[in-house]
Amino acid sequence: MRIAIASGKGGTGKTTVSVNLALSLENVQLLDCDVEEPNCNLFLGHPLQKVEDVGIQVPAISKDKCTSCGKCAEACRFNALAVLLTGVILFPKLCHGCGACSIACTKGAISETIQVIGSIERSASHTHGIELYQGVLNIGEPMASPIIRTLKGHIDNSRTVIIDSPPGTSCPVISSITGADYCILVTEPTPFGLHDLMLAVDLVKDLQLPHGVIINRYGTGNDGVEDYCSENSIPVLMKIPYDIRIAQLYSEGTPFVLRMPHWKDRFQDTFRQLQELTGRF
Amino acid sequence: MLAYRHVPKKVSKMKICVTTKDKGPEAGTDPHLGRCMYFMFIDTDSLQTEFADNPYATASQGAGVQAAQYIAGRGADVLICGNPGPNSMSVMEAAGIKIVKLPEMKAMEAVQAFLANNDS
Repeated sequence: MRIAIASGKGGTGKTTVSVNLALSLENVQLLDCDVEEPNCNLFLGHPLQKVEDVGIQVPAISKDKCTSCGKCAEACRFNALAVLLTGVILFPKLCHGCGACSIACTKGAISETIQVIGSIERSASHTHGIELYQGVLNIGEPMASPIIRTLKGHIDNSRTVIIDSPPGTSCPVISSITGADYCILVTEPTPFGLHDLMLAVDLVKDLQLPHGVIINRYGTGNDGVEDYCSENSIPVLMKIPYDIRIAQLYSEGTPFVLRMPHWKDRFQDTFRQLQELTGRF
Repeated sequence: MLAYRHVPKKVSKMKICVTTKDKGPEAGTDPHLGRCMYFMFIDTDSLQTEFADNPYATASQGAGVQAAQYIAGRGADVLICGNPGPNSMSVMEAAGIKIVKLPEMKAMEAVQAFLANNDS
């Protein structure tokens, strides 16, 4: 089973849920898809090894063949090309590597070169029995999705796969959660948490992903999230209390299930619930 | 799409482009380039003005790149704008368009301020 952990709002506890759920189950592969700031390994401390570089194809334009006709810039829906009399200017940070420009060019002036934007790493050893993969987007690079897609190419379907998604509802999130059997939306019980939860629910509905909610820092805020979930028949899978011990362990980089083992049972219960909801194992 | 031909002109006769928030003689300048509402083109010979919608004002990305290419295609020699972004600046530089940064004011005042400064 592939379980994606997402949220509309950032900082609600996606990584907390991902890591603690992973540590509570057997035979787990954990994918940290928050490639702009992968942080699962802050809590696992695995030695990591690089598996591969990730690149996108960007155009290389031959000055000799280019006639400044402008067809490439017209074809580019990401506005990464400007055509002047003096030639074509490429803005590689805007390029999505789609290749439309080279198809549009009738002069054969465009070839494609690989530009490395990040890498994939995996845990070299399996300290806690978890196989961790993470994507790393190089500093200054804006496009997370190609890294996430490459990262997901390493999914091992013989394991329980936990996908820690970046926050929000934009392209990197869609890349992360697409193909999951179930999406857990982590939220906090505040008006802000509810607002962004509603955006995330719209997204998972669009993607037709079965979904449920984990409320973190339960006991703060108000009842808005619970009311919303019951009105919309969204299962609340778990409530993690606003508890100083959990916060303290978090601040030390310790997953709380390692020190509060009764929580392992709770995560296992939640997992069994997901197995029943999805019919997958 | 317009031709990308940019013909250098004598300094005495220039086409100036001003980014604006609205149209008409009282139009105010817009500090943005890629996402301004309109471009005002003015010919320093005839002092005739022409307003054009910025076709890229709502582009999802790269608005500055395309706006700059558009302004170059219209044959502008000078751009008056509050704060063009780095991508559009490099297009302007490649096209040989002079960039003049001025605070927000009426577009015609900005043109006069530039011309007064340029003559001295």
